[in-house]
Amino acid sequence: MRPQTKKIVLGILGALTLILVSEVIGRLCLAGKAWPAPIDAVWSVLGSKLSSSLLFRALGATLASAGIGLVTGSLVGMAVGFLGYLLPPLRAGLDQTASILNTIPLVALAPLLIALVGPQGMSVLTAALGSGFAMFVATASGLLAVSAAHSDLFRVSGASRLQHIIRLSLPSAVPSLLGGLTLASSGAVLGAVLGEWFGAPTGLGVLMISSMQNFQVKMLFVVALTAALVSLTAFYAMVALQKMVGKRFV
Amino acid sequence: MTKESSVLATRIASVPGPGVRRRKGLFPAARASLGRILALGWPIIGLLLLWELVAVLNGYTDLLLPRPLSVAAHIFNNPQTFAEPTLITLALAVPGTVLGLVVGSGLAILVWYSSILDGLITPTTSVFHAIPVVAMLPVIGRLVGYNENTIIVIVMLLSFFPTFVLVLGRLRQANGSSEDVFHVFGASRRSTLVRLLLPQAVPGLLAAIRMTAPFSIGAVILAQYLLSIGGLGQLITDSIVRSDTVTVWAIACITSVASIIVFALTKALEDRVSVRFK
Repeated sequence: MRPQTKKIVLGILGALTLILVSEVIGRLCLAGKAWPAPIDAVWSVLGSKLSSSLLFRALGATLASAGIGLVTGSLVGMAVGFLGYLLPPLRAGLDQTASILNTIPLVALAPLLIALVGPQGMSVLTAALGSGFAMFVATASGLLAVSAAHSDLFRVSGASRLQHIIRLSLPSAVPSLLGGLTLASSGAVLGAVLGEWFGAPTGLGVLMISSMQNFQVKMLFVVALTAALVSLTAFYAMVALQKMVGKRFV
Repeated sequence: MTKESSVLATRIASVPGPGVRRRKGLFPAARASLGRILALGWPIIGLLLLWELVAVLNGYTDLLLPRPLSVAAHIFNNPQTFAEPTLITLALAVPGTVLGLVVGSGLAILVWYSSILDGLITPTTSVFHAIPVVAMLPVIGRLVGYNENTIIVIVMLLSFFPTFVLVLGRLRQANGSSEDVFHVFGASRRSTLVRLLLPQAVPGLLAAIRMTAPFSIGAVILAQYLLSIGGLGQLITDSIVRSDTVTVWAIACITSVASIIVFALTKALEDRVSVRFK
């Protein structure tokens, strides 16, 4: 067997084993009633009209918050990264603050954020924060990743600062920006779900908490699975984009 | 996150202090350190001023938006309110982190040993890496029970993935000449692992600690908040019920400072110890 084929076969086998083990644990109630059989849970939630419409409405709300958060967070992150590039004296302070803000737990920022946008706006804001940091770091390091030879050539040829930025720094930052987007996209989904825990009216996070409190284990399990799938899809979509677009800029 | 974070960390570390340049005039040292504080901390100072301004200009009372100084005074006047919950929260982050480090490194070693285990485990783990662990809190709470065990499991999962990835990466890192020496002297796989590769993996483990420790504090508080099980998280819930806004803001400040201190300590540990293993 070729190594590549062996790798794929083993990978699929590993995933199947995991699903099978969790199915067996659920069917035989080995972990108690809180562990449903995955296939049965998905089937029963999607089979019931009421629960599936509840799930899809929540999914739509979370996707909307994560999407808006991803776009605004990325734009702000990139703008701040660009500001640090344009005004070098600000750079050290911006780097330091961004890493400090990223270290501070969301719970700690919650009162400030709720005071700013209210409980309804929390999920968009936390999604924006989740993706903004990744995009800031990607922009800040990407803009500086210019090769010295190219930079010299631009200077010798008498390029203006604007030409240097548009024709050299920005294109060189593209691979780093795409790398940042892969992190930002899954960060936005996590941020949106967490933000919904702080009083949003609807969304996967809200549905998760309500099914946890009402002991609807199948619903809870399917909602968690949906959130994980959304995060994975966003991540791998960006990885694919990175592969497609990134080649032209390396 | 690894690459970007390390790039950022290197850039932050390479910022030269203003003390490098010679300064004229009175108190050059004091001016140099003031310059350094301003260069690094201007956004934080700006944020504090903005916070104060928003509170003063809108005429907010402490119930709506307490001012920075009243929050600071509240913490210093009531240390007993915050000391115990803070200690509980910090202490709860430890067992989960340690378990995650042990399980992550152990699995990385197993995967390094066996190519079949590598094929079975590594793809699944990389898929799990993209799943938001903290968002799974309600599921784990339901499974494990609404108690401290949930917190330990969540923190363990949080530190497990980076540890596995970083330690495995270091174990597999090519190191031509040293490995050749071991090979020529007929070292077994086990002694190559113990005497060459495990020491080589230490920086990976330290990087994992630096990446996860500050976030595990946040995860502990989030779990305590959501499941109402003691510590700073429960204090937030209780204070919100009592409309005690100052306490909520005080907890926010304490958590931020604690996370930053843990980040700085783990970063210092990484910088100190990693050099010996490179």
